[in-house]
Amino acid sequence: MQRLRAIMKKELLHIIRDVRSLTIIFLLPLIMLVLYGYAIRLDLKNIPLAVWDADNSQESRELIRAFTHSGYFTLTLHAITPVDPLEVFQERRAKSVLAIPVDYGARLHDGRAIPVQFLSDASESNTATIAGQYAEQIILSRLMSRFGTDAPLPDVRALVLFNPELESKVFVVPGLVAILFMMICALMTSITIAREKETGTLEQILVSPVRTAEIIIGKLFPYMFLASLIGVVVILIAIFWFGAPFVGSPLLLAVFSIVYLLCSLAIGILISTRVRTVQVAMMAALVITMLPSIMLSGFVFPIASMPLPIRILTHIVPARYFLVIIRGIMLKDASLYLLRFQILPLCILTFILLVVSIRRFRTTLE
Amino acid sequence: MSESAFAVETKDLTQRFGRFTAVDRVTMTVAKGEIYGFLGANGAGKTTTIRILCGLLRPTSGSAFVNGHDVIRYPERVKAGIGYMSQKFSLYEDLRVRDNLVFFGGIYGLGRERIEQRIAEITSATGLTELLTRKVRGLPTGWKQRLALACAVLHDPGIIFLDEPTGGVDPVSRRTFWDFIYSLADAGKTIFVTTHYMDEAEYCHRIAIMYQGRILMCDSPSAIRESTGDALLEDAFIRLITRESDTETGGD
Amino acid sequence: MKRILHMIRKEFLQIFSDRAMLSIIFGMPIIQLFVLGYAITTDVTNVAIAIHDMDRSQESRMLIDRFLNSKWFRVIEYDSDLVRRQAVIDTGDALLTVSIPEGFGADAGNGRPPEASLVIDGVDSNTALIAAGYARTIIMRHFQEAGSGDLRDLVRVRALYNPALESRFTIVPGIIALLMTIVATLLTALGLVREREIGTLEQLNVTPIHPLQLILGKIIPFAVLGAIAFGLSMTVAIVWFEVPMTGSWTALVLFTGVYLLTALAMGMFVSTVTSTQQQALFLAWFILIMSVLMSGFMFPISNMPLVLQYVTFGIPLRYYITALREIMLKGTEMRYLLDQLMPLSGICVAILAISAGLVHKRS
Repeated sequence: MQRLRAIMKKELLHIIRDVRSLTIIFLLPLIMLVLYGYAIRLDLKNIPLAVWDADNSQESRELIRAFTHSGYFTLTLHAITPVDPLEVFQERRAKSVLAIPVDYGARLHDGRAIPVQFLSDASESNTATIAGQYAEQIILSRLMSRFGTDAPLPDVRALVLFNPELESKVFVVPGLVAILFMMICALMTSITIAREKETGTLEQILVSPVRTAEIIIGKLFPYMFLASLIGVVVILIAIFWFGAPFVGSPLLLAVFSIVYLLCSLAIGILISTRVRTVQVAMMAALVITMLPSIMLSGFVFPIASMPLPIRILTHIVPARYFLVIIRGIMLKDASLYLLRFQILPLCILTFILLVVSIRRFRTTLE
Repeated sequence: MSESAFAVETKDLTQRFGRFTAVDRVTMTVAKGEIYGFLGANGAGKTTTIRILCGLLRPTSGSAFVNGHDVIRYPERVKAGIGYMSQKFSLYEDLRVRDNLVFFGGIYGLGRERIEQRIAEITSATGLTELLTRKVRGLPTGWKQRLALACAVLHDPGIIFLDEPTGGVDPVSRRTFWDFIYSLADAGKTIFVTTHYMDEAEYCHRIAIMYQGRILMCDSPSAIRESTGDALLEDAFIRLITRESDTETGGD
Repeated sequence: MKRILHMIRKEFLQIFSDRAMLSIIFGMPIIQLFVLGYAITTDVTNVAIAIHDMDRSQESRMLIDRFLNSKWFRVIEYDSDLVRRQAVIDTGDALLTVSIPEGFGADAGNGRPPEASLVIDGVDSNTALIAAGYARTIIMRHFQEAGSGDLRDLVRVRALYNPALESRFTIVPGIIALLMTIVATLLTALGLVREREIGTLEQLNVTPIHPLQLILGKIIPFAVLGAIAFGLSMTVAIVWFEVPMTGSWTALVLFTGVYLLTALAMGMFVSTVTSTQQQALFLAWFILIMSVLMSGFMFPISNMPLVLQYVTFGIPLRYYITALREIMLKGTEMRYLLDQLMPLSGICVAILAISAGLVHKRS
C-alpha cells in the first residue's frame, strides 16, 4: 500500500507540475463548449442570397420579401438587370441566386404561372441542400396561397423530444466528456509510460520490490482521477452555465464512466507496450483513439448515414457505446434495459482490452 | 579584433537570475594550450560560466573574450572556434555513430572531404572506428561520451569546453578520455573543463575553485595544496570552502 | 546553405530510421482520407423512422409509399398503434415518428387541411433538424402534387458545381487541408521540442549555425513530407472519390505552398512556447480543433454570430479550405481568390515573424 501510494503521488506530481498541459486539458472542452453553445448553430440561417428580379412587379417583390422575412436568407445583392450566377458564385457574393423571370407577376394574375429559378453554389453541399429545401417551401407556399383554393395545405405539427430547442450544445456535452476521457486516459497514459521507458525510469521502478499490479494501478489511478474530476467540472458547467439538462441517474453515469475510463486506460497501456518513443506513442494514440472517438462515434456525424464498411468499423470504437449511454442517461433518463445493447458491448470490449493490455504490459516488463 | 594572447579572458563577469546571483564578478584568464579546470560543488556557477563563454547566455554585466572575440557582441564568431560537450552527451540516439559525426561536421561548415578526413583521424584516436555503423542507442555510456567529444572536436576548434564530461563513466574509460584530452592539449588546444572529481582536477594545469558564483582561488593543483598545507587536493578544497562559508556566517 | 542541407539530411535520416514513425507519417493521411472521406458526411440518409397510420386510407397509404421510397428514411416500423409512438423514440430505435390521425384522407378529400404529426428525438440536433425538414418536404410534396397538379414545376431548384449534392465533394478538400495541418504543424512542433528535450538543441546552439538556418533545416523536411502527403491525398481525392478538379493547378499549388508555410510556422510557434513533447502535442491538438470548428470546414461561417465571424478571419485554415473548394469544385479564377490569398499570406508572414523572433529569443 505504501508503495502504491508512492507511485500514485509521483504520478500526480507529474500531472500537476505540467501546468501547460493541464491548462489545455481544461481549456479545450470549455472552449468547445462555448463554441458549440454560442457559435455553432446547425440550423442554417442568413444564407447569403442574390436576387435577379427581371420582373420587378408587386408580385416579385412580395416573393423576395417572403425570402428575407423567413430568416433563412439575407439579401446581399438585389438587381433588376441580368445577374450571372456563375460570376456571383465565383466572387462569393452569395451562396444562392433567385431569378424571377419577366412577366412573373402578370402571368401569376392570369393563373398561368411561369417557373422561378433558384440556384445554389453546391461546393458547400450541406448549405446548398438546405437552402434548396427552404426555397422550395417558400416559393411553393406563395404559389399555393395563390392557386391554393382547391389544394389543402397540410398541417404538419412537429414535437421534438428531449431537446425541444434543438440546441447543439445539449448533444455536444456528452460527446465532449467522452473525448476528454479518451484524451486523458488513453493519450496521457500511453505518453507517460512511453516516456518512462525512454528515460529508463520504468526500469528503475522495476528493480524496486514493487509488484506489476501496483505499478499499473499506481500509474493509472491518478489519470482516472483527473479525468473524472474534469468530466464532472465540464458537466457541471454545461448544466449550470449552458443550461444543459441532466435527467438521469448520476450514479449510473458514474458506473459506466468508470467502465469507459478503464477501457481508455487499457488502450493507453496497449499502445505504450508497442512503441519505443514518446513521439510514436503520441501519434499512435492520436490516430487510434482521438480521431475515431470524434469522427466514428456518432459525436458529430450520424453513424446511420455512413456506408456499411465504416458502420461496421464503428462497432469497435468504445466511444460509440459510451456516447449513447451518456446521452441516454443525461438527456432521456434511459434505463439499463434500454441501454443493454450499448452496455454489453462496452463491457465486453473493456474486459478484453484490459486482459490483453495487462498481459502485454507484464511481458514487456519481464 | 586583436590577436589575443589568451584563449579566454573575462572581467567582472556577472550573471543574475532574478535575485539569485549565479556568477559573481568572475575575472580570469586562460592561456592558449592550457588545461584549465573549474572545481566546485554542484550549483557553484560552473555550468553558467561555461554557457556564457559559449554564447548560450548573455551575462548581466562584465565582459568576456574567447579567442579574442567579444562573446557578448559577436557570439557567432566565438561559436565557430569552440567545441562544447555537455554532461548530457546530447547525441541523436536514433542515428548511427557516423551520421552524428557527419551531421555535426556539416553544421560547423566543413566540406565533405574534410569531414571524412577528420572522422578517420578522430575515430582512430578515440577507438570509435569499429562502431561507426552502430546506432547510438544501445552504446555503453563510455562510448557515448567519447562520441560526444568526437562530435565536439570534429571541426578542430581552438578551445574545447567540457561541462562535467565524465559523469557516470568507468575509471578505464575516464583514463582513455583524459589521454585524448592531453593529446589535444599537446596539439595546442585550450581545454576548459568543469568537474567535481578531485583526480580529474589533478590532471589540469591550473584550477579555479568556485564557490557560490565566485572564484576563491586559482592556481596549479600543487600550489593550492601547498597554500593550505594539505596533502590531498580534496582536503584543500574542503578547507577552502568551509573557511569561506564560516566567514560568511560570521559576517551575518 | 551547406549547413541547412546537413540539417535536412539529418532530419530525413531520423525520420527514416524510425519505421513506426514513417508508417504513421505516410499511412495516417491516406487511411484518414479513406475513412473520413466516407465517415464525415453531412448528408442525412437512412434515418430510422416509425410510421403510425391510424387512418388506413388510400391517401395515407400513398403518403407512406413516399416515405418507403425515399432514400432519406429507413422505415423500421409501420403500424397503427399510437402507444408505440413514444416508445420507439425512447429506446432509440427510431429517430422520428410520423403519425397519421384518423380522418386524414377524408380531410384531404374535402379540401380541409389534413393533419399529420411528427415526433422527433432532438438529441442529435443537426440530424433531427434535417430529418424533420425532409419529412415535412415529403408530406408537402404529396399534397402539392395531389392537389394543384405540378406546382413543383414552377420552382426550378438547381445546384451548381455539385448537381448531385454529394457532401463528399465538399468534405474531401476540407480533409486534405486538415491533413496538411496535422502533418506540417504537429510534426514540426514535435521535432523541435524533442531536440530541446534531449538536449541536442543546446548542442546546436553552440555551433555557428544561424537560428534561421536551424529553423529552415528543421522545416524543409516537413515541407517536403507535407507536399508528398498533399500529392497522395489529391490523387486519392480525384481518382477514388472522384472529386472534380476544374480549376488551375497553378493556383492550387500556390495556395498549398503558402498554407504549408503557415502550418509549418504554426508548428514552430507551438514548439517555442512549450517545453515537452506532450505539451506540444496538446497545444497543436488544441489549434487543430479550433481550426476545424472555426474554419467553415463543417459549420458555415455565415451562420455564426458576427463577433465569432471576425474571429474566423484569424484562422488560416479558413482561407485554405475556401481556396481548395473554390479551385477544385468551381474552377474559380485567381483574380477572385486574391481576397483569400492576401489575408492568408499576411497571417503566414506574421506567424513566421513571431515564431522566428521567439526562436531567436529562446536560443
